[in-house]
Amino acid sequence: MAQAEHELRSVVEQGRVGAAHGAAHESESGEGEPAGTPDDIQLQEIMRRRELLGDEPPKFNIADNDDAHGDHGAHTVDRHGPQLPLPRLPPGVETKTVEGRIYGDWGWGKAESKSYKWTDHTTMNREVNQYIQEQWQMIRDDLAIDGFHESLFDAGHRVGQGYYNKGMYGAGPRHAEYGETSLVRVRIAVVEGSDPPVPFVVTAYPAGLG
Amino acid sequence: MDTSGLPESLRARIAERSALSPIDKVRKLLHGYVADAEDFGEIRANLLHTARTNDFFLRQYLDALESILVEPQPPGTLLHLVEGDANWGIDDDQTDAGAAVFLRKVAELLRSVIDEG
Repeated sequence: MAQAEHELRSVVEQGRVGAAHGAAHESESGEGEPAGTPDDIQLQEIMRRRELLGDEPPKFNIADNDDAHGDHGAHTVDRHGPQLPLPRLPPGVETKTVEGRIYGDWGWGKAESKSYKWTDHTTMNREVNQYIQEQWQMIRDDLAIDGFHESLFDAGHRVGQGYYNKGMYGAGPRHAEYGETSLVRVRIAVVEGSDPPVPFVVTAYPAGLG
Repeated sequence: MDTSGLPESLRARIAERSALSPIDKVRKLLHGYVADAEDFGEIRANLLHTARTNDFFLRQYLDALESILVEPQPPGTLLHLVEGDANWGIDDDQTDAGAAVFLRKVAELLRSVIDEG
């Protein structure tokens, strides 16, 4: 491990994967630094991102995260926050509801098969931060590779309430049925162009199984 | 991409994700980029965000998606991918054929995003 880490630091400083591992690259001019192949550059960038993301998992306040990164697509509270009313509201009422997402009601771009919201802010923040804390090495690797991590985890207890379409898969007409869930889908990305890379939560939401 | 020089956890993670079956890669694509999106504009923005960093896995997802659209799948597979994994209602044609139409649109979008890079 120590040898690998030494090689990693050496690569980050020298910027030459080929040199660090003894492979020879001839530059076209035949002098100065050997040119890296596109693959080498890609690997260097991956390792650099990983190094800069660091060993310490970040901690998030989801509402603050959404405020700061809404322009980059962060939308947990807006689409899955505990403040959303559960049942549909009469037509003409311009308020998003959890059940309304099953039907593509006002405020929603499409009709979904499953729509859940967090039970409360404390649970939302606790579960997401615990997941990130426990899985940071894997999240860090994914963010280093292409700036994106997605996963589904089971919180082991009720974290969300909402609806699923009873008519899914051709079972019948679209009809929202109430349900609760312990599953959470989380998507984390890196702010585009940020250096050092800044991770943020794109969305983290209670999810139903397909 | 020759990953042999990467730290072990990175190399293993790339290997693990690259070894997923085509259908599981399609699920990763749908879970990550489609399921919570409101429209195809948002899907495109999600994909572009990743492509601008590295399209390594996006290319694998495109290959996987194209392969499951070409090779016959067990009945209900495509419908489950769309209404389940992508969480997208297709009431106008709630069949595998209807699901294939949706998945072909996703494939076209993904291809255009990759080509843009």
